[in-house]
Amino acid sequence: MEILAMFGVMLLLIAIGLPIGYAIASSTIFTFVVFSSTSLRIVSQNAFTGIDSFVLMAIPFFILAGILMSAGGVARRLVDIADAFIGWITGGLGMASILTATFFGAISGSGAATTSAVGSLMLPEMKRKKYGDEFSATLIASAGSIGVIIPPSIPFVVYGVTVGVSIGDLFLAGIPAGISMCVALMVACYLISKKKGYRGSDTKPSIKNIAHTLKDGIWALFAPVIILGGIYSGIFTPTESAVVAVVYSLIIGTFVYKELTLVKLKESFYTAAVLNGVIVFIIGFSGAMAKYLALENVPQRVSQGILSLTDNPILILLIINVFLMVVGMLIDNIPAIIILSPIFLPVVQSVGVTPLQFGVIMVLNLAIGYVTPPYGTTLFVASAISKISVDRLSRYAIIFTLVLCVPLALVTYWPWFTNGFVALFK
Amino acid sequence: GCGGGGQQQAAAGGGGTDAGSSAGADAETYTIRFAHIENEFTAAAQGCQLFKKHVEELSNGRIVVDILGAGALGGEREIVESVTMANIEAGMAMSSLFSTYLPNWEIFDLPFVFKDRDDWAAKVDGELGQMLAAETASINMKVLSYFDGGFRSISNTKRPVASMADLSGLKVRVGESTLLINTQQALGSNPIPMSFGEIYTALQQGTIDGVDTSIIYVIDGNFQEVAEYCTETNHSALQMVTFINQDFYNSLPADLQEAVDTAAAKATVEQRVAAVEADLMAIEVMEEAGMQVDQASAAFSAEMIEAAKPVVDGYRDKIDASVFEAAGL
Amino acid sequence: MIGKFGKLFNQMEYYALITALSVMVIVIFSQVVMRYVFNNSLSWSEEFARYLFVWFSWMGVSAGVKGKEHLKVELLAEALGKRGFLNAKEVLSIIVSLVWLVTTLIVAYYGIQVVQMQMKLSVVTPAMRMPVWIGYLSVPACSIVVGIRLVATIVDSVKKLLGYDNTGLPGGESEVES
Ligand code: NA
Ligand code: NA
Repeated sequence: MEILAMFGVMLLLIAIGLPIGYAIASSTIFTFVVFSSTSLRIVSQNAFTGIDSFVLMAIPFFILAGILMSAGGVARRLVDIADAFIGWITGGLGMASILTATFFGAISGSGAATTSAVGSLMLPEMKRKKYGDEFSATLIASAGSIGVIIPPSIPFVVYGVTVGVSIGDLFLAGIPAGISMCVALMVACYLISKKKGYRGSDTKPSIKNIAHTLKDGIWALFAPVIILGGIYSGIFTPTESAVVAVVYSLIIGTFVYKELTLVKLKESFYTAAVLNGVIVFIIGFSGAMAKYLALENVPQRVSQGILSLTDNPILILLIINVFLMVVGMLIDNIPAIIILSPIFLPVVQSVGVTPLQFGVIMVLNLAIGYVTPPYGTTLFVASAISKISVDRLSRYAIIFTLVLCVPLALVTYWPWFTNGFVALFK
Repeated sequence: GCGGGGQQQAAAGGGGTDAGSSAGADAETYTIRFAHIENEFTAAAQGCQLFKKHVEELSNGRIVVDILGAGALGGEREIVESVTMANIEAGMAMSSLFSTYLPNWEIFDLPFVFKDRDDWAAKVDGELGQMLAAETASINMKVLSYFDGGFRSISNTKRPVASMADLSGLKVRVGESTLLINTQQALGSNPIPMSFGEIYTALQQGTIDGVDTSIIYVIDGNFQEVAEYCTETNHSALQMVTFINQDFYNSLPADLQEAVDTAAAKATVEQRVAAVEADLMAIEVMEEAGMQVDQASAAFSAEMIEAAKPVVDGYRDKIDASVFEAAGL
Repeated sequence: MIGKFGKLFNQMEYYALITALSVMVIVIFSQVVMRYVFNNSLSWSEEFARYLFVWFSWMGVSAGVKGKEHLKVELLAEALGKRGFLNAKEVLSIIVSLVWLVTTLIVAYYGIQVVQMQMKLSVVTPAMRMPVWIGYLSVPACSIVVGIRLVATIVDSVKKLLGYDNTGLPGGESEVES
């Protein structure tokens, strides 16, 4: 009863346009006042303790690194490389966008930053080549969601902190999932382009051109090696690696590509500060909501409820996937991870799913949620860049959501994609 | 089904904040929400279950203990804060969480304060334990039990640690505390402060060579899968403390206060037995996983005690002399 | 007078955010260098950076109100705007801001209580021995700034509703990122 009231109030407030973080705070306050005598101090306390974490500091750094790489000319060079490889094929501009998003995702930890970097470069180009506007914008939004599956990833950091799984392992497990998203979207892009007659770029396939773009972009390609290599070799913690990525992108942008000016730098830092601001506090308030649920033993009750319906692992995972998909339509991934992972983890563990695998399942579901209206983070960004309203993007959003269900199914039902892959490195 | 828990809590929370409501106290039921971060199999977590069992029995069900384990309510610092602020009623944490409020509590983490389990039990049940427990009133807390969390050992991936030379330069993870860092530096190792959750991967990747914790927590973190050697250096006690909000406790009728006290005392005795058994079980698990588990030799221990003396002396101006005396230092 | 003060505050906020992020980068980067080059770990650096991060994050919350950057669903407002119900849209935005204002004031009020409790217990951080309430203060302090900015928004909306302002509705507010 009180749980329904809490989520009902939250969804109502989100629907009328209250920012997600404050909708969570309001509904948590409402529930504590009406159904419990626990002091509201717990909400303000969590607003501090929930974010007082060294690991979470990776968030602003991964955001900043992505912004600096965009501003410093790294994103453009990644586009050139992708274009040289596959730009000339049917639907090549779309496929180059997907490939760029995958590369850029290996630097940026955020889906929105990835969408914004790739979209601002590729959308005008696709328009010039007469790709459908709705198709292009939705494709970029879907490709941007790869940014949180290919490591580094802010949602993986949040999940790792919430559940207590190694963030390095989560990052590793994101690689096969991210690559399969990339492949699935490329195939879909090719088929749709073929049907619609979307052509490739003017780039002629040539070894010389590929070699030239690779040479120019070598510093961009080297960034993921530093970030991921640093984490896996044990040189850096994830937070430290994020800072090293910032310093690296500062050096590349300023001294190698010489595109970062002091004005751009100030703007980049301020943009990162505000982006961090509108994300991170949500972790604190979501923590307060999660505390309420823990105090009410909700995780145990949900777990018993689901297990009393069925003990078939395939069915249980299907139910949870459908539920998470609906959640992804409505709210942001960070609160969803903090509030829901303690609820579902016991259930999936009882059918043999590891916390690591569930992390990838959950984050992938919520990444698909980036593209699904009404609340779709990367969809909003793509809509803003392309100046096309969100509701006009819905048709292709449905198509790409279905396409992304293929990698989701692989990750859900084939542990090789997560546990197996990570075990290869042990 | 949903309403019951909430209403019960409303009654209990009411007891915590407006203590005047106990006119019909006999009929009233109370819920103690008891938070900790441990997994079920550790002796400390078992101790919490034992406390629950005894309280519920002794109070004839008028007190219900709702255990929120495995970090459901956040980390240990958050649990301690939540109990001082009466967000919840009770919890368990390491003693070092109290030293941020009460400097005298650092005594537990000082190196080589306790010779063995018997010496430890005598001191925490005696004057030392009472002096420190009395201090917690200032943070609105009452100590329920001193549970046995074992003594800190050093597990590592490199070599058997049988002498000071073996310790030298070893990258050892310590809990995030200046005192623990100082201790490892005095012993000659290279301490790296790190949270518990990151240890496994760090050992695997060689970010650290070893870890400073008691053996039950070695298997709690599955470190036996990645580490090869463990030496029971016993350089300090890993003191687990359970506590209850003082106002809430005061609001209980006298007979229920007694039930809580008796239950805590019974749970303490049983938990300490369980801790010894849990250690034996842990060693078995470690050896089965191929780890070599050694005792520090008397000579090695003496060397370590000597090396750690400056750390102990460094705290003489931070901890009251009476506490030092009660600890036998 | 108030406008002048507001402008000065915004400037200070802008530079405080940029400076805080720069300092965090420098401190954590030095920590890495210290550990690998000088084989020496700084015990205060992590704690200092964490407290700075909390302040930085909460200051970003209020800066996000100024730039209308907070993550939200705007379908209802858009639908009203499209159908020409401009007054209804304005009323909706006032309602949303009021709920938001009440929430942020509750968070601030209880945040102050938490700060007072931490002060009374004189809790300090393990490494720097810095009072813990300094960290907790970020929540009420920034929540109050959020509240002030919301009041300004509500006043603007009311003026618009009463016809004091005919500049029309703002078109494309900058959309969200995450
Ligand atoms: Na990424
Ligand atoms: Na969505």
